[in-house]
Amino acid sequence: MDYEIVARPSYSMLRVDLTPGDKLVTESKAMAWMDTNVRAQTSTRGGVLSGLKRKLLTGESFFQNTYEAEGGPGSITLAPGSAGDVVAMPLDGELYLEKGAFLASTEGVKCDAKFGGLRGFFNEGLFVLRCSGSGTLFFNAYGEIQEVDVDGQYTVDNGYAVAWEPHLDYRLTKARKIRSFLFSDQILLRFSGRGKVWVQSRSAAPLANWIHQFRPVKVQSDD
Amino acid sequence: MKFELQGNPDYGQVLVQLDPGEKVYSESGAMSRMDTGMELRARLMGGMTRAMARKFLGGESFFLAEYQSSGGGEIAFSPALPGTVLHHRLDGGTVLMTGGCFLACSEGVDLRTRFGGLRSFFSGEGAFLIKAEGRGDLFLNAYGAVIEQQVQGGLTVDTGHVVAWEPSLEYSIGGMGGLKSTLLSGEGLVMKFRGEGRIWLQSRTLGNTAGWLVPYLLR
Amino acid sequence: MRIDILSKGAFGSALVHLDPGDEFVSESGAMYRASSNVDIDVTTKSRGKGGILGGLKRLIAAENFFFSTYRVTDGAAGEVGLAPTLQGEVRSIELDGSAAWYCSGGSYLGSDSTLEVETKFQGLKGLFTGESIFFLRVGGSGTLLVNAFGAVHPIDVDGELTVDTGHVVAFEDRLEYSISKAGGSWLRSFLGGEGVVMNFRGRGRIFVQSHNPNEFGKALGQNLPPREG
Repeated sequence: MDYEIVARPSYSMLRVDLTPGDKLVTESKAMAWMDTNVRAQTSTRGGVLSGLKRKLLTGESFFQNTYEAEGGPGSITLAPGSAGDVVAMPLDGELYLEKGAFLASTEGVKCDAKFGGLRGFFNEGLFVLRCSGSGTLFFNAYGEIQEVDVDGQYTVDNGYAVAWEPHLDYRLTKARKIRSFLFSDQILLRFSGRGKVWVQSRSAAPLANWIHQFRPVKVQSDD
Repeated sequence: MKFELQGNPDYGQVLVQLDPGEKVYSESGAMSRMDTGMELRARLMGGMTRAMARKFLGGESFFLAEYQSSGGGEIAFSPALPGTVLHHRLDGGTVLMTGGCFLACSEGVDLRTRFGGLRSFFSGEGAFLIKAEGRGDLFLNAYGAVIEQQVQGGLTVDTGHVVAWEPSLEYSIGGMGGLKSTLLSGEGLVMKFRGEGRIWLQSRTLGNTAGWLVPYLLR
Repeated sequence: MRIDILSKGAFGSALVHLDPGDEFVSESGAMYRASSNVDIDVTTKSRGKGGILGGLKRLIAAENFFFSTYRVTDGAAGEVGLAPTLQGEVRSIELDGSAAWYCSGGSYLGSDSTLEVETKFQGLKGLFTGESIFFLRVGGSGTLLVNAFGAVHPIDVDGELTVDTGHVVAFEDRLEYSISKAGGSWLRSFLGGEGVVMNFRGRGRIFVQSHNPNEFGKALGQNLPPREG
């Protein structure tokens, strides 16, 4: 299976050339175009419970699609929802992914929802995806991806940490001196130890707040 | 009319230099800056019926903006969505494009709305078409990068990724595969192109950006 | 203090390197990464003017109510990364005290604590079309960071220039400006889909952005589920 990340780095896409027998697991909705001999299979992958956990806890899709080429080689191109870059990562072990960052993987990689830790943050939806196994993992970022080598301590706003290595300790904290009765807290991830963090240069939550003014308004019913 | 594409591939826009009396047409709301003294008129391109068809079927604006300056001058157009702006020179040929991809054109380009087929109504996406022909300069915009492909045989494309294609390609609109795949895959409808010809694809879709943002929205 | 503009492709951000004693201010929430010795202090005002009233005005100006101030706490150097909400370029502008800059609503990213940031409310004309026009006035000496939706084009105006309000990032206060409709009449502007434009006159520098956040907001907003009231 060959792949190439095209249209880098601003609006990156992942093109995968499949030979019969190769299987590519993707986030649903990610398929942009493909040869006519590429077929999709849709499943909850890992069972209904696993799919449900993924959906409810991380906002990732309940269903994932598996693509295969039939009767000869075929190519498929995947696009993330947001503008930004795509990273291909050979995996042999574990990697934590921020919810929404999963784009695709080879068959040997499994992704599970995991609670991000720290009581009191449950409502914030601070769940992460734990990806494990061996194969290739493809994740996407909103914006450019910056690799930060942590040696000691480093702070990243919760919405900007896309991926990090499992041997890094991480702790969720609130920014100090913020008057929480006036606006929502800035939640920070404090990493410690030695390892790599992938940081994206934009975050979905501020965009979601900004777009609020442009959304249609729900028609009020009388009751 | 002279023009210059600026900002490609990330933030494309087109800067147009008009001679005295010359006109340029744009998607409404696309003007970003211009020399003071440029005249703006709202035009129903192709007459009322076609304009109506464009409005209700094509999703494009009812009116196009027509700019003209007696002394000539400079004007810049930029699309609502960031990405690449494509220039297409028409010399009697035809190009088909999807709803939201028209940015601007010179005089001499004839725009007609074509109905993409009844099924496209159910996709919730802009699978209606604009047919451009005549002689002149046409500017299209894409959301994200543009990938040009030479189709030989067939290509299946999520409807939201299609920008434009040559009329030598035939297409049909349908589901991904069986009913289950269509309903559960989340892919919505696809356009299946057949034949030989060029196609221009965009690397992002507005629908998928919206879907990505939904979990983060305020109430 | 040193500022690196980080940018690969379409997404600019700023990495501010702080030495002991340095202070840098941003709109609150703009911090996306920081070394662990950086302290974040959130205040209702920037410097000098403002207080609660200033804060309210900033709220109206669609800017955050709060500014964050960053400094290092342990006598060592530190870094703080600042990111805008929308995709686009980040630029730094060096102010030497000879001219102040006006920054449109969402274009202010951060500034030296030596700069004075005040809101300037631009009258109701703009509200006619549903588009509001607000500016922050930034004066003094120091570095100002602005962000754009899309690419930034600096233009040295010498004479006249008409810019759609949605494309204005920042401009020097030595330029005169007036607000009007795009061509001929309100009806024409409305039918042509063009809203309010700014006519600049004189000599001075203006930063325009390649894309209009309002147009993007309308296009994306239509595709989102409705909000409550």
